[in-house]
Amino acid sequence: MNQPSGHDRISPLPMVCPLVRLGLNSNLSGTNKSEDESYRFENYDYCSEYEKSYKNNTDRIFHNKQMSIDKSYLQKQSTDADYSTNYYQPNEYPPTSQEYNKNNNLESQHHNVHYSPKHDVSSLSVTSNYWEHENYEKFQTNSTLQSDFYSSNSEPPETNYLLENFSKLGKSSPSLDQGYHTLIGSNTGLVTTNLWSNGNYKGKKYQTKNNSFDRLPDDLVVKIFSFLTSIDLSICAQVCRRFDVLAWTPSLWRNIILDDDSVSGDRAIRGVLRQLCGQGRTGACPSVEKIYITNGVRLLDKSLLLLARRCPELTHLQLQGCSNLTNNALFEVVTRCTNLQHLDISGCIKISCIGGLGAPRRLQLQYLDLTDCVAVQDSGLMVIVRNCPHLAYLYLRRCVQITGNRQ
Amino acid sequence: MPNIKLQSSDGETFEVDVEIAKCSVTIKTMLEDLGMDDEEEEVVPLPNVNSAILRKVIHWATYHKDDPPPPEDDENKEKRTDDISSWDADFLKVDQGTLFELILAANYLDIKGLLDVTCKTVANMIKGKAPEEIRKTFNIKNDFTASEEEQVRKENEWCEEK
Repeated sequence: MNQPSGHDRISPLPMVCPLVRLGLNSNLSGTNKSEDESYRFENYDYCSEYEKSYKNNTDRIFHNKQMSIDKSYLQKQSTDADYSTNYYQPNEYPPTSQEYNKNNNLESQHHNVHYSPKHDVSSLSVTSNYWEHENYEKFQTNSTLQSDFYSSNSEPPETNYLLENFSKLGKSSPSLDQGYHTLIGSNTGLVTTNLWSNGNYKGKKYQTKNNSFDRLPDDLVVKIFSFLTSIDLSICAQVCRRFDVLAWTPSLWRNIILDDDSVSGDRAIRGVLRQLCGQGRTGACPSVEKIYITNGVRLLDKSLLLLARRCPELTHLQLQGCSNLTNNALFEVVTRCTNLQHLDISGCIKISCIGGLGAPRRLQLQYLDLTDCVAVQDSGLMVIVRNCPHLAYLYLRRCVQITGNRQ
Repeated sequence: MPNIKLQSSDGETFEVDVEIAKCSVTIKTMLEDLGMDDEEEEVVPLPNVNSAILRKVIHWATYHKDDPPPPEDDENKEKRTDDISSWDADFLKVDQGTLFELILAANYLDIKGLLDVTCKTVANMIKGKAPEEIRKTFNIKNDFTASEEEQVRKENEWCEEK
């Protein structure tokens, strides 16, 4: 048959009959439970290709992004559907003829959608959704049944059950008996993989079971993550592969907020910037625009210098109570981050000036909070004012060394 | 006020005030694009929403029908999750499956207020939890290999100094 071209996401299936496939894996029949991960991956790739392409399809409809469906792709789908008929059947345990018919109806209904000559998108989405809903429930029950079964019986069910099953289907093969255990072994995984999606995780695939989050497309998970603080995000990254990928979406790190004093500001900044810019010495993260460090989180000069190098697009910087910071590091930031408009260094008691003794610099600062910067003197303030021609807000609360005298 | 009929994926029809239905940008656009007349007995099919969820959505929209239009997402504004009204909080005391269905429905129907409040509710379920607790809460499988888990823990260890 014609291989569809231009459908990279729906990768071509290996055109192998499932039963042949079973024969290939027969060496595992002794172990019958497919604990071996690579084996499971392999089976997964193959068996749920149908699901995956299907899911891709529904996702697309959901997003209304890509509506076009061409004919070769439709043919492709139908072949896949044939496969899955074979493949799902053993899950019906024991399959009553009624159930079998129901299943077949579902399949054929599904068929019709794809064969619909008009390629009517609305009807497609109706039915696909219907399919998904129905099957979601169905497979959930199915998987429960299956797992219950296995928890009560350590041995897989007897072979003749399936043989019967297959003969009902009009399928039989000399290798059936041999491969049957393998089939069941993989089925325990398969039944629950109904809604599995996969993606790339550091070159490997990640799979997800059908929990609540797996029903959401990536952009909605990112939307949920957008309500989390930087600390919660980095905890989310440790939950699973998909979360690790999504939690480091650059747009989520536009604002970095560190406000829990149990966190070391230095290690946090280093860790976050390493994730965002990679390990290289020259990487930059232009996505970071605002950094808020408050509530007693400590930061040293070296971290501020790192920020200055890595975050050229910084517009807001709040460094409340970072009592170890010195003039030099701060000046480096305002020089390198040319978009910096908002600077709050309240409580940075070592800071006495922004800018050196040399020629005045035209910094972009519009908002400067020097509350509790007790080291700032009249002379320092003069330099600051000269360097910041755009200053619109200046706070000098409790800057006790500032006098009212003109110099 | 004129009514329109909304049909859920499982075929149930709901008669709703047009103004309430229009809090869904999807429906609003659909009505505008199709130029549906008030006199016509049109049924708007919503193939991505089942009747149970659609009923919840209409309930929410009816309560919030007089709300001012939600402000555009302001990047400068800190994202808060503690500003969920008590009515919304009660409304969203549902099982997890329903909550996530509501997110999908709000996204499909493009109802910003509902999408925000449901996403905030899920974010609140994540906040302050350890990775294992998050997995438990949402039945997420830890699919890291041992070495990956060690690596990812190392990369993020700064957040666990408690």
